[in-house]
Formats: sequence, C-alpha cells, structure tokens
Amino acid sequence: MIFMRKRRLLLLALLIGYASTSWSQTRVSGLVTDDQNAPIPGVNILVQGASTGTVTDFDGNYALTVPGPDAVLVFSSIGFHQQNVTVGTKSTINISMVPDITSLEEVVVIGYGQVEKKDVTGAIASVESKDIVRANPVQAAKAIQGQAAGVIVSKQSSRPGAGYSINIRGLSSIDYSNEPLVVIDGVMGGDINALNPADIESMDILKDASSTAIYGSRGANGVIIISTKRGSTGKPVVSYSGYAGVKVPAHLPDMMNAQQFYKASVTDNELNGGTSRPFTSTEMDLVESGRSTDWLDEISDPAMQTNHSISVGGGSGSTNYHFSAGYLNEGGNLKNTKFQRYNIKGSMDSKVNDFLKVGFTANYSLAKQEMGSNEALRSAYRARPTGVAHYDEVLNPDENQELEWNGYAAWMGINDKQVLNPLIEIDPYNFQDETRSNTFFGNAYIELTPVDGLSIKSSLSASVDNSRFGQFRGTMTKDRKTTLLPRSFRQTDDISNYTLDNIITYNKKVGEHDFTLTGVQSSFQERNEEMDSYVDELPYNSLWYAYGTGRPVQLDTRLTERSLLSYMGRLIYGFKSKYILTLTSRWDGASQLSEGNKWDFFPSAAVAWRLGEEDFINSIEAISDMKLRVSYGLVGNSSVSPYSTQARLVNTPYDFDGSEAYGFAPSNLADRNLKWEKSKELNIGLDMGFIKNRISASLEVYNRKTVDLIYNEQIPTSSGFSSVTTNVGEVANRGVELSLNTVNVVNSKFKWTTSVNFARNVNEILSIGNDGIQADIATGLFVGHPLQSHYDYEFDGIWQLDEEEAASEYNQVPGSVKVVDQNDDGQISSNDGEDDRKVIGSEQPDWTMGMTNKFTYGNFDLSFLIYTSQGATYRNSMLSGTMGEVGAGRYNALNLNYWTINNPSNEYYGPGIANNPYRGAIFYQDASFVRISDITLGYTLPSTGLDKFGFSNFRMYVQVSNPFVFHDFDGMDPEFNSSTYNDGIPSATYLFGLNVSF
Amino acid sequence: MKLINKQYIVALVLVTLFSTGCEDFLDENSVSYQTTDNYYVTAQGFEDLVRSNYTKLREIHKERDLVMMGTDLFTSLAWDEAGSGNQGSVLNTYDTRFTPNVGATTNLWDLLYSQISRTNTAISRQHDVQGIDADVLAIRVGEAKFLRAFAYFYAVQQWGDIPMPLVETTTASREVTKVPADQVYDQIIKDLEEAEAVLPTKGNTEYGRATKGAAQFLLARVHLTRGWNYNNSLGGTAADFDKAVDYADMIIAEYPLEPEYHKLFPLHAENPLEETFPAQNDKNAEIVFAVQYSNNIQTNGSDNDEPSEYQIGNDYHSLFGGDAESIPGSPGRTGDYNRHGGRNTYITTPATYRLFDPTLDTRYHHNFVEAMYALSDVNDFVPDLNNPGTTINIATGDTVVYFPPWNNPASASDKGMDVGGSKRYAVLNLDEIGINPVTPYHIKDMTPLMWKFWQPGLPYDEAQGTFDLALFRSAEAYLIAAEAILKGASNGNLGGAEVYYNAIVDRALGANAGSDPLCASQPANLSSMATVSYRANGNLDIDMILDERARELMGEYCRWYDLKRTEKLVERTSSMNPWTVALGQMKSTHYLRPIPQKEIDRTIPSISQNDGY
Repeated sequence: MIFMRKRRLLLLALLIGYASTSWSQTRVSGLVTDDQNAPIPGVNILVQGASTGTVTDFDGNYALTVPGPDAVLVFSSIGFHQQNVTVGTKSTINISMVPDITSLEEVVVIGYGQVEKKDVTGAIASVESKDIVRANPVQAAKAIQGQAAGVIVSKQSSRPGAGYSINIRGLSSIDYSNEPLVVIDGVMGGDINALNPADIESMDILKDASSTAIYGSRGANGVIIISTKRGSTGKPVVSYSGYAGVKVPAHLPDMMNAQQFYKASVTDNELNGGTSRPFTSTEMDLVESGRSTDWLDEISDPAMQTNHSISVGGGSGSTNYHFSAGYLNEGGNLKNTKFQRYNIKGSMDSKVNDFLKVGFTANYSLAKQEMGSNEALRSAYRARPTGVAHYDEVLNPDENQELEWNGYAAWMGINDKQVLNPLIEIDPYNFQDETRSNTFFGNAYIELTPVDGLSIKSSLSASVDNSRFGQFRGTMTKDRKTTLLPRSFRQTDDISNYTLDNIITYNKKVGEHDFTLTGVQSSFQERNEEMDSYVDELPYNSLWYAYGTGRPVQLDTRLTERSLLSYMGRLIYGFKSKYILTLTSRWDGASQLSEGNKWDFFPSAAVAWRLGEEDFINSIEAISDMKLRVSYGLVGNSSVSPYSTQARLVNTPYDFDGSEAYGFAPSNLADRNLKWEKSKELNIGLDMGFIKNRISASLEVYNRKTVDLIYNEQIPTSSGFSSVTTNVGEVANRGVELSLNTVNVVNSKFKWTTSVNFARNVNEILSIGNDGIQADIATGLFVGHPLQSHYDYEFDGIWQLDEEEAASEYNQVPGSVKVVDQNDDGQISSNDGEDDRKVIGSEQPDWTMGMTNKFTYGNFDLSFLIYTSQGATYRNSMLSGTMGEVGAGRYNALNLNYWTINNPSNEYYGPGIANNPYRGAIFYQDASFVRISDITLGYTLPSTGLDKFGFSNFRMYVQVSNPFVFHDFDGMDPEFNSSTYNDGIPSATYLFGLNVSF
Repeated sequence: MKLINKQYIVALVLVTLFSTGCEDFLDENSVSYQTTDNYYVTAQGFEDLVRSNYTKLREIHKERDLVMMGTDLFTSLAWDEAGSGNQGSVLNTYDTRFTPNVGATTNLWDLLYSQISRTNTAISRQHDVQGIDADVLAIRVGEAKFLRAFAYFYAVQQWGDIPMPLVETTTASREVTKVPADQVYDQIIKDLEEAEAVLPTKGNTEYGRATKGAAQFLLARVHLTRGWNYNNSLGGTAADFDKAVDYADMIIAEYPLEPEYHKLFPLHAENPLEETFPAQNDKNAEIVFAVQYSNNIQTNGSDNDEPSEYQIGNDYHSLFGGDAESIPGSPGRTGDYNRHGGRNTYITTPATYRLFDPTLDTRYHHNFVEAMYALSDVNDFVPDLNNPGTTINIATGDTVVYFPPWNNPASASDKGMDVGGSKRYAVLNLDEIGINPVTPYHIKDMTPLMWKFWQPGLPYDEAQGTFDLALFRSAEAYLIAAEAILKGASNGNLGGAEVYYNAIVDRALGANAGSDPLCASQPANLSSMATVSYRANGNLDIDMILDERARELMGEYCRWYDLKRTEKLVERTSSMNPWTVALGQMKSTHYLRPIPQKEIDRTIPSISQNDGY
C-alpha cells in the first residue's frame, strides 16, 4: 500500500514537474471517481475558455496548472455527466462523476453542425469508438451491424476485404442504390471501406427525413456521418491497438461424399427409374473403398488475420493534432486470397488568432485485394467427390484422356471435361485476380468568428479513388480449356470529386430563447475515368503486364461527370431548454436530371418536447427523463446515372468483305422529363429514462412514402428497347424501432449492461406505372407487396407414390415437385387469367434485432453480440444451381433428404424422376438466421503493474468472431445468397489482441 | 481597427466563394457518348447508323433454335429416354413446357424488334441528315428498308399477327397494337419493292451490303410464302406464285450456280490428320446475300452491350452433333473434329440421313463425318469392359468409329470389338445412332458430326469462325421457282418445275449428273431399306421439294419456315423427329409461336396470346 502511494506520488511529481515547465500560476490536482468511489481513468479536464487541459491517469489522478482562481475546470468523460468546477482557492479538487447511462449529453453530429443529444429533434443513432474497437471489424461498416435499430448491414461476400451493404429503414429505390450517404469528416460520398476502423471517433446515423434533409437530394437513403479522432489539448497520448489470429472455414454447406454421391447418382437414380452416367474405374475404386475427396477442403487453408494501429494525439498552445497509421492483413480461407490495407491519417486544428481557426484532415489508404480464382471455388463445389487430385492416383489415364499438370490430374480421373481440377485452377500460376486501390480523401477549412456567436466557415473536401483491377486466366483453367493461350482483363477506375461548402452559423441566446441559424452553399463535382482492356493469345504468363504481346480483343475508355449545386438553410430554436424546433430547407440542382427538372426544394420541420423537464413528469420518481419528438421532411434522390436523359449510342462492329464496318446504334431510350425522386417521411420518437437512467429507451415510429420513383421501367420489347429510366410509382416504408439500454447489475466489482435494438419495417409498393396496373410480373413488382418479392409457383411438397393418379392429372409423376394449384382448375399454368403463380415472400426481412451484453468483473470484461434477421425469403442460389441437381451425376450436390420410392421425403424431389417441370418452386427458402457475431473476453492490467512501464492503459483480449449461426437454409449462410461464384469461404476467426496507451 | 480590416478581407474572400454557382455548372456534356440527336444528323453519323443495322443480322442468325430445332431435320439427344427420366428439349417435345416462357421465343422476338427499331431509326431520320449525297442517302434508306422487311418477314412467319412499328421509338409507351399478318406482308412487299428500285446491282456497292439481287431474292421468298397463304391469313393470291418465279428467274440469271457443291462452304479434309488448311473463299458467285464475318476479332462480334453468346464470330462450324472428345486417341479438348464447348446441340435426325443417296449424292459425303480417326496413340486399350483381359494398341490415324451408310448397315460380325464383333473400331449403324449405349470407344448417344460448315484451324471452343454465312444463294431460287410452278405459276424462263428441281439434284450428283439417286422411300421407318429415286420424272410433289431443300439447304436457317409455309410442319416433324414422335404432342397450334410472356406482361392493356398457348 505504501509502495503504491509512493509510486503515485512519484508520478504526480513527474506530472507536476512536467506541467511546471510550461507557464503556470496555480496548480490544482485531485482524484476523479465514480459514484461507487472507484477511480476513473481518462477523464478529460479542460480549463474553460483556454486551450489547456489534461486527462486523469489510470488511478483517476490528475494535476494541471490554471491561470488563476476564476478558472473553471470542465470534467467530462463518455458515460458521465459533465461537471464544471470553479477553482477558487482550492489546490485539491476531488470529483465524483455522476454516471449518465443514456449519455444524453453527448454531442451528436447532425451535418454542417452538431447538437447535444438532448436537443436532437430527429431520429439519429450513434455508434461510438468503444463499440467499434470492441467489434474489431475489418471494415468499419461491420461495426454498425446489430448496433442500430433499423440499420441493416449485410455481408455481400465471404472474400477477404469484402464490403457490406447498408440499408436504413427499408428499400425505396428499385434499380438504384439504397445505400446511405457516407460523410467522413465532411467529405460527402466517402468510401467507408477505405477507413481504418480504429481511427473512427463516432458514427452518427441520420435516419428520418428531417435529419437527412440537410443533405437534401443525397439524403434519401439516410446518412452516416463519420467523425474521425482528433487531438485534444494535453500531453501527447500514444495508443496502440493490434491483434493477430487465425481464421478457419466454418458453417460450410453439407455436400455429398463419394458414397452419397454414387448412391444418389446411380443407385437411387436408377431406383427411381432414371438412367445414370458411367463412372470410371478410378471413381469406382473410391466409392467402393470408402474414400472420398473433399475438394473444398483441398482448396482451403486456415488463414492469418492481423491488424496494427498506432496513433498519437495531443495539443499544445492553440494547436491540436492527431496522427495515425494502420496496417491490416486479412487472409482468406480460399487459397491465394488476401486483403491488405495500409492507412495513414493526420489532422490538425489551429486557432490562428481570436477570430480565425484553420484545420485539415487527410486520409490515405493503400489496399490490395487478391481474390484467387472464382472458378476454383465453384469448381470445388461442382467437382465430384469421386475424383482424385493427383495424376498418379488415376488408375487408367487413357480411360478419360487424363492430363497431367504439376503432378495433378486435370480431369481428376473423371470422364467429363466440364470441371477442371480445382487445385490446378487455383494455382496462382494459372489464375490471378487482383485489385489495387489508392484512396485519398481530405478536408481543409478556414473558420472565421468575427463576433460572438457568428461563424463563417469555408470547407474544401476532396477525394481521389484510383483502382486497378486485373484478372488473368492461364491455359490450365476451365476458361482456357487447357489448350488456349492465356487471356487477361485489366480495368482502371480513377474517381475524383470535390465539395466546396460555405457555411454561416449564428448562435444567439436571448433570455430563454436559443437560436442557431445555419446557411450553407455547397457545390459538388465528380468525374470518373474508366478504362478497360482485354487481350487474349498471350504467349506466356505475363498477368496484365505485357499486353503488347497478345491479341487485343477490347479496349474501351469512358468519362462520366456529374455535379450538384445546393443552397441550404436551417433554424434550430430552443425555448426554456424544453421546446426545440428545427426547420430545414434545401434547394438542390443535379446535372443528371432533365433540363427544366434539375432543381427542386426539400423542406423539413421537427419539434422536440423535453417532457422530463416538466414538473408533472419530473415529480414521478421512476421516470428520470423523457422527450417526445415529431418530425416531417421531404428528401430527394438523384442516384440515377449521368446521361440517362440522353439517347446515347453504342458502337457496333461489322465488316464488309473483311473491311471494318463499325457503326453506331441507339443504345437506350431517353426520358427527357426525368425528375427528382422524392421521399416524404413522418417520424415520431420518444426517448425515456427510468430509475435514474438505469433503463433508457428510444421508440421511433415512422412512415415514409417515396414518390416519382426513378426506375428502369420494363417496356414492351417490340419498341426496340427493353427498359427506360423514368419516374414511376410509389413505395412506402412504415416501421417501428426500439432501442433499449439497461444496467442490469452494478456493484463495486460486477457490472452487467445490455443493449437491445429491434426494428420492424413494412415495405409496400403503392403503385407502379401510370395506368393503375397492379402487377408487373416481368420486373417482379406487385402493388401491395414489398420490393424484391418473388413470384412463382408455391411449393407443396413432393408427389408421393399413393398420389400417382392426382399427379398424372397434372402431367406429373411421384417424386416430382408438387405445387399449389392456386385456382383449383386442375392445371398448372402461368397464363393470364389462370396464373397459379403468386407472391411468395420478399428478400426484405420482417424484423431485425441486435443485442449486446457486456459484463465486467474486476479487471475482466466479457461481451457478446447477437443479431438476427427474420422473415426474408431467398431463391436459394445453391439449390437453383448445379448443387441442387441431386442425382444428376454430373456435378456434386448438396446432401439433401431427397425422395426415392423407398424414402417418401417431402423435402426434395427424387433423382432420376422424369417430368419435373416445377422444380423451380423448391428453391425459395426462409433466410431467417440468428448469429452470435462475436464473443470477447478482455483483461485490463491493474495500474500497479503499468506505471513502471509508463502505460496508462493495457488491455488484452481474446475474441471469437462468427462462432455460431442458426438457420434452416440449405447450403450457405443466409445473410447473403451466395452462389459460390465470386465468393469466398465462410469462416470463424479467433483473435488475440492488445490495446495499449501511454 | 487593423483587426477589423483583416476580418473584412477574410469575409470578402468567403463571400466570393459563396458565389461559385456558374450558370453552366449543372450542364451535361458527355465526352464519351454521342447521342442520336447530335450524331445522326451528320453524313458520317447516318452511315454509321445504317452500318449498325447489319450487325443485328449476326445475332438474329445465331438465334436459330426456332428455325432448326423441332423440325424434321434436327433434334436433341437421347430420345430413347423419353418417359424414363429424360425430358428432352421442349423445342422438340412440344409438350406442356412449350409455353410463352420458352427462352428461344423471347430471344428471337427481342432481336427482331431491336433490328426493326434500328432500321426504323434510319428510315425516320433520313430527312434530317446534313451534307449527304442524295443518291447515297436513297441507297442507304433502301438498305434499311430491306433489312426491316427481312426482320418483319421472320417475325410474321413465327408469330402471325404482330406489332408493326414503322417509325423511330423516341418515347416509351406500354400500349402496343397487333397488326394482322396480311398487313405485315403488304408492308414487307412495299419496303422490298422500294428497296429493289434503288439498291445497286452486285459489284456496285461494298460486298456484303444489300443489293438489288438481295431484295429480289427476298421478294421471291415472300411472294412464295404469301402465295401458300397460311391459314388464309396472309392475303395471298395465285399472282404471288407468278411473282415468286419472276424474281427467282432474275436471281438465276444474275447469280450462276457453283458447279461443285462443297465449294460453297469452308474447305476441309475428311481426316483431321490430313488437313491442309486451305485458303477459304466465301465469295462464291452463287451467293446473293450473306452475313459477313472476318478474321478480325475486333469486328467479328456484336454490339458491345449484347450478351457474350453473341460476341463471337460465325459459330455454325460447331453446332451440329457428335462428341469427338471422348473417342480413343482424342487429345481431349481440341478443335479437331470441331467439338466446341457445349455448342453441339443440333443433332441430325436419323431419318434425315436416309434422304440422301450416300453413294451418288456429293452432299452426303460433304455433310457427314463417316469415320473418325485416332489422333494419338492409345496403348493397352480395353475395347470391351466385360473382357478386361483383351487389350489392343491403337495407332494415330487408325479408324476408331465408323458410321456405315444407311443403305448398307454392318452385320453383327462386322461390328466393333466393344459389342462382340471383330472390328478394332466401333461400328454404329444408323438405327443405333443417338441412342447407343456407352462403350470404351464412345460416349452414350453418339451421332455422326454434321460438318457441312466446319472450318478447320480454329482453336478449341473458339467460335470465331471467319466464313460468311450465306443467307440467299441461287440454288434456293431454283427450288423457289420449282415450288411456285408446282403451285400453279406458268412463267418459268427455264421451263417446268422439274427442270428447276433437277438442276439442283444434278449439280449435287456432280460427275454422276443425270443418274437416279436413291433415298429411302420411308425415311422415318429406320428398318425399311426400300428406296425411291429423287430425280423428278413426272412425279414432283411438295414432299420431294422439301426433301431436296433438306439435302441442299440443310442447316441454312430456313427449315422451320419451309415447313410452315407448306403446312407440312406437323406432319413431317411428327414422323421424322424422334422426340416429337415419342411425345406425340405436336399439333396445329404449333404453326404459330407463343407471343413471349414477357411482352404480354409488359403491354398495357395486355396484347392477346396466340391460340393454344
């Protein structure tokens, strides 16, 4: 004990000594504790109105110098109420911080400004740095998954480095992006995947139209505002976070082994009256000896995943800075797949003088994504388990004209040339797929505050995203048939944009009236230069680095430009800190809309009533806080491609007697009246805190209607065109969202908190076309049903042997797929008037939920995240592909409970069954799932062990990501509908990590 | 005071920045793309528009399912499995799956209307072109009209009453009106007559463009078809047959017959080991109009925004049957024997072989592979799996599969060792092809390759064939004249129908011209060896003409139309196509194709479906 105190004193002395070297008049020190008297490290202490400050050390101690007795110290820490203390004559100030479980005092970034959370009038969800760090995501988007109600973040692929799709409050656009706008440090349209997640301070997700209206035409799908870390005044804090671990294949689909494959393809196929394919002697040898080849296993390996991030932040005088560097290496379980990313970030803010402030942020990211061979993965699912990998395992190579390559058997001892040995296909000598990208985005601003409350700010943001994609297919690939010379494809994309924002903000408090007026003028311009080239007949394996040696097949370049001009105004008016009104309006002009329709106006209004401040609520003991919010707004969407209102031409090749005869044909039909797509949204929100905010909840109810939908309307092809980009139809999204945070147990040693968010969104098409039509079968749009609905025959089991007569009335036989005769007319038909197809579910989930539980016991912490998506229906890509062709015998298939005359299964049709016309109906499956996203166990070293090394924080943890997923979907993980091509191998990751600060 | 000044300066800078919104900030000026409005008004632009009309010919003639499948000549494999697990291709079975959703109908519909739209654009925009020579403009418009009539002619035969837009589509509409078939024929003939009046004669324009001869040839076909007047719906009269003969005679006078049949097609050896890779000539004087292909891969494909199956050259060389990669001595995936990645989908029906005299008719020899050879040595080959102890060595060049002519089948002892015979190669009689079991020599369902269009020297799975695809050649004009005279026309320059008919038979007989070639008298009855001469000698009838068209024009994108025109489709297909025979579901409704469901779904109000679908 004495020992400890001594060391603390030493540290204190050092700190004081350090502080004394700078200017000083009065010294203040003290201890900061929580309501349980436990010390709190990392509390920010600022001298109000000055640029000095410090942070508490690991034992909650602090010391700093202040200008004089009038100085006010501001103590703040996330999760606690801020406290202001006037120094006076005291030299020791001990503070007990009051926990703020709802964190209502947090600042929320609302676009061109920020407000305290208590003053928020719209529907905004926030994800903080600590949640991002906890989840350890490769991509920042994953950190939102399961964290915010109504925000659906889904994996798109299992490949390393793959991005996520983000959807806020349901779909409204049919053919165009439903992705929200991402604003990173003011850079609109930033690439969330180029960020190092460790650099993120907070992500604020604007959900309702009144919140996004500030972004006008770009806010229709919601907005995610990302603020990266910036320095704060005080001594430099160096932080390191890193992990290393192993990623292993997990949750793989159940494919047949050699014996199951033979039974389905031959024994059961013939049992059902079918004819089977011959197997070679090599295949029969495997089948009969009980061996089997697991091709997926052959082409996958455990992979390493490592990440290191280091940052330094601090400030002195009038300048704060923050710099960081990060390195990520995510291996893929499919051999030769990898994602590597380097990040460098820097920011600085400086007060030049009393009225001028300048600053910048710069982000640079260098990434390389190696995708391996997409053909190899599909081939591994397709290749028969009765094949062999190596040439010397083939019993009679003449039997199937076997071909040897590097000791491998190209045709695997199988007499069929449709699948090439996946081990050959995956060899980097034969196949490579690589994307390298350089991304820079940055922002610089100058801010003028000529009089108190007035700010004039000019901000220039720029973003450059250059990428090169190369794909090489050598002779020994399926694509090149083992005989053709290699071919190669190379594409470059150079995307650059800038945004210039000029912002005036004026804040004035008159008595109980608080006004904040904001005016913005913004101009945005983007250009995209693309080039793609394709050559074949490459004489040697030169990847995409010797195009002069091959035969040019394609060379194309494109330039796409667009621009957006905006004027915006906003008033935030607060009265008595109880009533808050936000009025926003924005005028936007977009280049890609038609002449005369480029400009539109997007207004919104929102009010909040802080009921908790009213006496009649205040007097209720159990209710500690309450706020009611109502908002209504109009936002636009111009995500349509540039030049859509022009009838463009396409180049056509031909020749006359061998002489080139290129031509130009019309390529699209132009809608010369294309205008803004608009969404109107009403949002009602209620924020509540109970029992001293130990329980806090937010409830949102919304109704959004999108009109003048921009979509590619499918038109009769007798017009010569198949679609036109036009404004047609209306879609509604109505929903309810609930967020609940509870402190279940708290005492000096143990704490358990739970965060739950639940969202239900009902998506409905209100109209399509202008003629009151109810269904557009060709595009799968049905009034009264959600977008992404499936329309097909309804699966009704398998025709059984005792139903032979009934089956024959439908020209079918036992063992084939039975579908519902919806109109009971004794026939199955898709014809108008007797159509037996119907809407059988949508790809949009009925509801989603995420739950995070955190436990701390002493220095240990344990947390896990569960999320679920329920009610989505997918047309299962694996079933509809070759992996569903059970018993066909050509390709391997899923190990399903299929029908035979001895196994009256109602799950899957029988191999070898003739006349199975409605097989397609079996592909639609419920894609509901529950996933344990991660489980993390951490241990924070007690401060006694740290001081001698100079650390202020030292936490170690182990984490398992994606350990469990529960679903009834045949084949792959139903989070996305993988067809195995262009995918990776699903995995679970086991990590060991460190978070260190000093 | 100084401070205030500074503030003003900064404020001034900011205010200046606020006013960046120039008038043209939101203008769209595409550098990469031309538009219809700014490009087609120039002479170069209009020339390019008309050139683009030709490109669609490639795609349309690659969409051949509706023209060759489901006829008497071509089918798909494994018809013996009908009813026992194999459903076969619906294009041949004509069963309940033959619905408005059949992909082939949608594909051809889309392509034909895409071409019609393109030609309409050219015809509609002719008046706005600046700086183009008036005569050139008239010729180009004539070409567009010829191509539009060609597309409508295919469409009206397939679907009957159809939408008939005649001007450029500039705004979207879902309202579509079907026009009766006879009005479509009137429009086709009007377009063709206008084209015929202005188009240059052969040799006076770039080779490959539409000529006066091309318009005359198509007029001959159209009048012949309208003369038959399918279902009394085409507005045809007897005068149509006279016109068909008039136009056919014009072609015959202008485009002389090639003396040697095989020179019309790519030259190749019978045995890949003896291939000499001769120089190809696809500009035979007999050819009136052909889809152009070349050895320039950049110009050999199709529109950049079309699917990849069209982004290839002439792939006719690789479509017709057989699987040569599984035979002993085959190096696997090579271009020998023309096995090209999954495109061997058109299987010759067994009855078709029996339409030829295998000895006298040079077309039998040219069209079919009669023997296949080992292309590499195979040691310790086991010919009979039931007798694994017996092995033989096969040397390069040895015969490994032999297909005896239909009129001289091999006896049991003359068959291969694989089935207990004495021959060191497999022997497949005609009644076994397509339904034979697998043996070590070949896969199941082996058929002889139809390699009439085979072009040597193309790599495996490369469909970049360079040989032009002839669409009109004067041999067909002879047969058109013969058919029209048979139907009552009396104006043939050369004489009666049989004169025209026998001219084509004699050209095929070559050195044996004048002799009597023998075909099976019951082609569909595979066990019957009875024969009959197919020289016309007072007995010419429509079946003989259709048989001769089969022999002469096999695979040349006209069979379904020939059968439909003559209303012989159901009768001949139901007897000669094994899949159709096995299912027995073909009926008269199949004379018209279903309007694609997609089109019906997209029209408001929905256009009516053809009867029976």
